[in-house]
Amino acid sequence: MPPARTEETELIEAARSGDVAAFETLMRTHASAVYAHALRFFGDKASAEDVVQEVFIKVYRSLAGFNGESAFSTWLFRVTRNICLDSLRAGKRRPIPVDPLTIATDASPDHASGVIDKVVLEEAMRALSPEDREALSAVTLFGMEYAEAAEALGVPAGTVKSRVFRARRTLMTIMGLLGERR
Amino acid sequence: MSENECLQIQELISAAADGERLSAEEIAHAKQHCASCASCTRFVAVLASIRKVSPPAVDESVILATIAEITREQQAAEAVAAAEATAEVSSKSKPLPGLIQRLEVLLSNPKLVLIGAAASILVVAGFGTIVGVRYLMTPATTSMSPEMTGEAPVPMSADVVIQTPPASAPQRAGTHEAAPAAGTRFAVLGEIVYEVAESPVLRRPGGDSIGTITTDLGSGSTGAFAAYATREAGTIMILGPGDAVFEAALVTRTLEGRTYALTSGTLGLFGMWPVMPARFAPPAEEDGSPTFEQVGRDDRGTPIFAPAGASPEAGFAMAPDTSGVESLAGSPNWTWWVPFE
Repeated sequence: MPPARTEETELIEAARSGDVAAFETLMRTHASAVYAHALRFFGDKASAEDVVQEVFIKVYRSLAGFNGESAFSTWLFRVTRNICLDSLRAGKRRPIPVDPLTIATDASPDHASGVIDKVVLEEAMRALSPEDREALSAVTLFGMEYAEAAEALGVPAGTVKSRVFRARRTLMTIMGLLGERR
Repeated sequence: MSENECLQIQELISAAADGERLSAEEIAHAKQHCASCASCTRFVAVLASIRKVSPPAVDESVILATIAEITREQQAAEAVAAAEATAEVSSKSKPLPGLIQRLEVLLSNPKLVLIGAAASILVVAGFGTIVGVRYLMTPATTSMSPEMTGEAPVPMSADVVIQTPPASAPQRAGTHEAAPAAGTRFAVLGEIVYEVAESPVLRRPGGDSIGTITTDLGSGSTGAFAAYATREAGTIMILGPGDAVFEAALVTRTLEGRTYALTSGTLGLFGMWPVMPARFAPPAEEDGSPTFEQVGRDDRGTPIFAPAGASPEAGFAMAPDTSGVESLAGSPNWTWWVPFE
């Protein structure tokens, strides 16, 4: 569970004054969100781990410039998104392609128990369009409200709402969970 | 029940799951709809199941490695700040009155002055002897690498420090001048120069072992480190001390669309400039003579040189500081480039 906003502000202040332990607490709270976003972006564990390291080193170096106007998680999402996009543009890392049809074939949802196969779900995440996936990521991984995600993504809040919904519908369809397998 | 209505209801449910506030009307409408719609009821159940799945978690090792890197950075910053503070204090401090009085007493006593002078001579003579012996025992350094001479490479231990010879202007093709303050990060594998990344990566070497690189990786102590191939052409990984892994990339130019890689003799320390192979005598003139003649220009229009009658396809030279490669800016040496397949 993420720390309360005031507690997080104190951690940021402490980290800004050189308290690495405070920064470690912040990192432990948010590292998996960054990792999951990068993993869904690149589909490669090693690349995702590199992104986590790059993101938190950059965040640590930039703490002085964080004014606290937005939530820490919103800022972190922006840094993560930029690092993923920058390394893609620079040709440093390339996403591993994924075939949604293969995922649908592999998926065997246990309708009775309602248990979703985590591996299949992660593969399906990778098959989403980048816009839908990052909207879903902002809201579900980084815990942002639609308005915050809208600001970070530079689109209206209504667009975030539509993209998140479309992402969920697509996931369910790819995984054959709605009885409408593609 | 129309499909369009179902989609509208499901979008409301999706937003509600994300903590968006719905009006009382919207909630009542959604409840009423779901009571008689199997499809939307199923959507609610599946959405709940998906939300129960925890996202992939990052390995603890990644957190520890990142925090270790940040700690190192923090400690370095603190050390610099402390040094700056000390320097500031020193520059402001004045000799203590007591010390001045003691110096005056010493200088007023001729015997003590004579003893002090004799001691100074002994210290200077001793230092001179040490320097002289070290000079005599230090073999003349050449730009020839074991690979070039065919000699067996000398095994390097981690604490062997390669001497960096002073620069000599007329010998520009073969000098190992120290780099400017920013420092170069070159290492050589089989005559090919690689530029080593500043920060280690978390990825483990996955490719085949392709040899050993002699470098200090910036530590000041030269060692022999294993190099590994990667999936990316022109990039290798170096397994450094403490299993730190560094990516290193070729330094390249192109000629008629073909890639050429920078070569050099061994560069045991960061901060050394790549040098020409020893088989080429250093050109005496800017036009490359008498060793080379200009044979054309590379794809960026930079003049390239080759031995008289030789084709640049097999390799070409570039004059100092003209390669257009940022990390070579300021190098006083001629460089030699070979085709990279």
